[in-house]
Amino acid sequence: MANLESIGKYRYRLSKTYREGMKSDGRIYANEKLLEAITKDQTLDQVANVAMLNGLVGDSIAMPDAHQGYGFCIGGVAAVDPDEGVVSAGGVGFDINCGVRLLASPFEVSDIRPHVDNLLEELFKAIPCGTGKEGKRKLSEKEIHDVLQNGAQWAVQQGYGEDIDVSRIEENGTIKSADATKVSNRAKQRGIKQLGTLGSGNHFLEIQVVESVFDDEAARVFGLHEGQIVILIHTGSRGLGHQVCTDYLDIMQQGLKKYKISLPDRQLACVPVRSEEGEGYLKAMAASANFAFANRQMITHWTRGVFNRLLKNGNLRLVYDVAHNIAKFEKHQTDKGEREVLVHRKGATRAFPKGHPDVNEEYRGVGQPVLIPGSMGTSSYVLAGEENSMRESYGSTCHGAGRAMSRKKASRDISANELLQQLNQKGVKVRGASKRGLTEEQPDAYKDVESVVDVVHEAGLSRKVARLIPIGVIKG
Amino acid sequence: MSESYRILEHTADIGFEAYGATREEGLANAAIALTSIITDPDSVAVKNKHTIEVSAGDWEQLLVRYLNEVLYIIDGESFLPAKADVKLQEDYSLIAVLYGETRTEDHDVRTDVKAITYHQLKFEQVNNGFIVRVFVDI
Repeated sequence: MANLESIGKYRYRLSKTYREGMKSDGRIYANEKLLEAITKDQTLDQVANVAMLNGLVGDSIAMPDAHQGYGFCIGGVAAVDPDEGVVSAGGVGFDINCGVRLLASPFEVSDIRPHVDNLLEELFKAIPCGTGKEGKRKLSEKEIHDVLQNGAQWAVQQGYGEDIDVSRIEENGTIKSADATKVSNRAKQRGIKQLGTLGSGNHFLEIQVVESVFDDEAARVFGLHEGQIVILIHTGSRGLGHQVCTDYLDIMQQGLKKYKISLPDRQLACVPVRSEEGEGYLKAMAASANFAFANRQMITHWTRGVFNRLLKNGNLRLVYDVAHNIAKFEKHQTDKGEREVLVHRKGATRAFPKGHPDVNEEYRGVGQPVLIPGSMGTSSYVLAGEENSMRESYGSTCHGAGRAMSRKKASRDISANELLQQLNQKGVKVRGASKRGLTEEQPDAYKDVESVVDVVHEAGLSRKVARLIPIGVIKG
Repeated sequence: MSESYRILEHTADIGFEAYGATREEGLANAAIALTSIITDPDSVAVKNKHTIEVSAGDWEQLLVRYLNEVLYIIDGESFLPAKADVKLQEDYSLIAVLYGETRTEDHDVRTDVKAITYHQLKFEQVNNGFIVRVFVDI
């Protein structure tokens, strides 16, 4: 492709001559094979569209797991100038603070193998999952307000976990700029019913084994070792976040006229960061992110309860909790020196390196943990933030494997029973709410997580610390 | 047109096209097409109804706002529509009645739909009627 050129190892430039109106270049992190997949759908067009946004600082960036999304591509990173730039609800997406949390257990794989069936059964009972499942705790209006303001810290105050947990969550589990009054009653009503639920689709809880350690020091600091059982939880802000994004997309559509913004795609709807609508969105988005932190905290508490009941030890140490869909004000190096920018991460993970003041003290010597879930039944990764992420990608790295096959094709290619048998042969047991949901998320429907992780490792955006493989899966 | 809607699917996307001799019929079929992503509309009995009123500044916005309302009824009120009647008022404004039933454990619900998007949205007049195209986030 004429406008796409290699600019060194695992980096490609999408020249601003690709589309009229691009204010800067696009940059794609990929190897040849991943790039081929990326060029097959509308990812490059979406990278180009983002490069047209007002006030974009530097390039419009796509990670190696990038694929076509709505407005922004999934796996996209864009930093904007807060004074001249725009904020886009589509640049965060519908599942605000969809994210991942890792718990480290005191057990070795041999301790757990005989109990996997029982654990899955009890976890499935303890954690509401699947479509339409409501949370176990019915919240009052006052309580949903507190959840939105205080996030995981609310959950811990209510007895879902320990004080130490919050220090191991991005933003300490509470984004302070949240304002619950900027969240519609409709979103709150959806949230009241769905707090403390896993959801469906690609959301899951997995019992995994640390299969290999690549970085001994970081693994030691994160409390991980080979053969250890860990738990990975992948979920977000549920219907509350979806509604907040829907509400503000509508508000931003109206803002386009008001602020005389023209766009190549209505899904990119955006308003100035410093406008009433922009500030309202960011406060509501922060509140939704807090809801998601509280959600993962409650699920953690119930997981600990199940381990305690069945194995007499529920001491599951929270390793870390990261957001994959979020926009945040952060200080970064730009052409004009260090300054505050608004970083949109849509299907991307913060990856602050060692020494960064926003990394909790416990991990500051090795860098922030980055959690990369693979597809069901394949490996997941723990990475640590690296220096190049600050120089090149606004402190960001990849977030997962990235979808490669439609859900329909995935379901057609394999039956649920065949899939369960295949996974069972690999030593992976599955408890799912829906058989169709299982086949839609089958491993072949995703890109190879190994090559995605290799690219960000080689590019120095984050480095490999440990590979995790599942032995038990709960799917919504 | 013989079919009232069809499902569209690409890598990470799912959506639908709905058809109607009139805009009203296209909008009514769009609500059932949306339901069909979530569950089989034929498995839903007509027991009660929800009425929604929507207005907007253009046809596309009306379509999205209307489907946002339908989705809220499905996800927020746990109501599954089997049939819809849509009456346009003045331009860009409508009243719709959704007929169906409250969701129970017996319904085979395939997936949640997170949201309606503007991605490749279409609400256009064609030779013999109207065509609606919508992609949703699941």
